[in-house]
Amino acid sequence: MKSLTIRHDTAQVRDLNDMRDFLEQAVLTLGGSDDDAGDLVLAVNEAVTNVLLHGYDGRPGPVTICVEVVNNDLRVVLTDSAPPFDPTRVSPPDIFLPLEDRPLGGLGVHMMRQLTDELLYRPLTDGNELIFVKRGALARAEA
Amino acid sequence: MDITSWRETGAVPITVLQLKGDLVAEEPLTTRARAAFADGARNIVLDLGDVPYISSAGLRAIHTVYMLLRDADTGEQPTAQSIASGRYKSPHLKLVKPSKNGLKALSTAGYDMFLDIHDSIAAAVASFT
Repeated sequence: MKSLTIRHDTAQVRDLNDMRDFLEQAVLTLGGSDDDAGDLVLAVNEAVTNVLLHGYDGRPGPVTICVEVVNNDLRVVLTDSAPPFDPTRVSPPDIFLPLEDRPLGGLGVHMMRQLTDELLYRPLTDGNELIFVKRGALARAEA
Repeated sequence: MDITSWRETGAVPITVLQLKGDLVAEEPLTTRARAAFADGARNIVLDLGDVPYISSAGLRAIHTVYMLLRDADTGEQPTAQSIASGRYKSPHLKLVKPSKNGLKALSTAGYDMFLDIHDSIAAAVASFT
């Protein structure tokens, strides 16, 4: 299995740009398409932002992003040491409501779901693991 | 993020906010939009041509600008049906040239359903009635 990993022991919001750059390059290096790279960057950025702002409450904390190829799928595994939070249990917003009737925000988890084929959560002993799956990404890039 | 602003005169007075840099927070966009609003702006063009990346926090900023202008409008309120069918577009807020990534963020959130997106500032200015 091919994979590329970045780990920040003391990740902060200012590191998000580096993480996005790593993720985009990793997806392309492993054979994914520009579109899949763009989708994964958007989705994973939302999750990491949540971890840094809410999980760590703005304090520096460890974040690991591993991009891996499993068969023809691309998977991004995000691990952190924040208190347990399962985004897959968050209710989806109604994006057909007028903005007047929508609460501000609440789109991060929606983007994670919409831009991936599967979003999997697993609690860890000391943190969280979130897996973003793009099915058939390598076959799609070769087509 | 840097924001440059100026006024254009079309069918109505228009304020252009030209953004440069990633749109990943509510500030400074919302503060600049509120300042423009306090200065009389009721129609705004957001030029996103130099915005490589938009996150959900950036979308929240656009939402805030939309609401700012909408709250000053006494016209008919949009409905879920008119938005879903594409019949409603904001008459007061127009977007220009979002990046591929930015367009994906906007469409994923459904914002492209009620915000006109133009290829140039001139086209956006000309679209105000």
